[in-house]
Amino acid sequence: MGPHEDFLNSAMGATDLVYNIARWMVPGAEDARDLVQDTYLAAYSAWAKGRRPDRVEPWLATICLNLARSSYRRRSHRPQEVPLERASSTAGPSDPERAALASMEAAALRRAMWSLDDGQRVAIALVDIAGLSTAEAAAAMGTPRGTVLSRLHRGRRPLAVLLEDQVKDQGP
Amino acid sequence: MIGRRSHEPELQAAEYVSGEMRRRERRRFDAHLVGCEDCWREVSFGWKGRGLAEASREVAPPGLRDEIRAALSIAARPSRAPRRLAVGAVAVALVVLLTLGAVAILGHRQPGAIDAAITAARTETLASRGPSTHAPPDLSEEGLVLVMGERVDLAGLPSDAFMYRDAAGESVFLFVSGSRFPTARDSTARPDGMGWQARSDGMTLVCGDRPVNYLVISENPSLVGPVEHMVKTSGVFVA
Repeated sequence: MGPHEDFLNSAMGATDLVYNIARWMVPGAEDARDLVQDTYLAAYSAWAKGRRPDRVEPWLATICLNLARSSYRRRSHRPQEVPLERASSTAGPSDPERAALASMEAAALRRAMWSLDDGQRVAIALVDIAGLSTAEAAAAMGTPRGTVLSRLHRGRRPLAVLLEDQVKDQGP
Repeated sequence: MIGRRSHEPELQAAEYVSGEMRRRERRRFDAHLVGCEDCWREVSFGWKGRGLAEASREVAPPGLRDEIRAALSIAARPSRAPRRLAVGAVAVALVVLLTLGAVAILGHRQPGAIDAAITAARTETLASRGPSTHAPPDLSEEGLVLVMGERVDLAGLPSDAFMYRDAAGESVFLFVSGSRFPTARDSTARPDGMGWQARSDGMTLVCGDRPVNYLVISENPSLVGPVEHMVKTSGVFVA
């Protein structure tokens, strides 16, 4: 098996993960698509030179993060695209909160995420959304793990407030 | 106090909610939560926030995988550059790679800062922390064009990073730091006793500490010498 096929087999399973990270690195869906593609091309370039990471997911996440910070940071941002579909529901800590999650507009969620500072949003994207460990996120972000934990918590807090507001709006 | 740890509700809540406490620590924290209003409140925030973040997960749009596969197959062709390769930092490495052919070299694990520098040089990507503290040295007389000069963090070692490219598109990286770079594994001492040199993961590395702590990395060994010579002789970097 050549490096091309080997890379496809190893890395293509992480497309959703890289896309979910890219969505919180750049505001527009089109930019996110480009960022994902550029991430895969950069990763393949390294792969073809013999680079074999222990785990593909955090490696791709790191490349995506680095690309977003270097290549994309000078881009003029397009107006933020806010899909109007409703966010999918996942398990929450209680039934009212689960119901609030199910009914929450994706637009409100996106606004809340983009209102976080960059470090908090990246930490949440890597750990809560992409499923990396905090140690892997720390390596990708180039920060101590304690900083990642702190950013995670401070980012989760305003999201929690948003959820609580949604629960109140829905009433008993 | 919770066991041997100090009472840090935010950090412990983050660790707890992220599912990263060891079993014994988690049991202790479970017991502590019953009586600690501060920690209970922070954990409650954490669960709700995490649940909301998880709800924002999306499936990659239809067609994205096909686009990636198409771009990769273009990149894998020996004679053509990839069509949609990102401008700037990532661009030319793939063309160089395809020209030279893929050589699989599995290097030994290096110290963190060295590994981070090699990865940056290999992928031609850097996580910028802002503008470099030193002005980018001019290497145009050596036929090297400055691509970027940034402040970076190499696994905890703050450094200035300068990337140059020659006419053939090959790149060379210069890292300059206020602290010494760790010694690469399998390195050899320089003949003049100043620093070390190494080959790792297909890259040539040279490192010295005068007039500043520097590390030069390139896949092309012939690009390393001129950059190191400039560092030592140009007077750009003052001790």
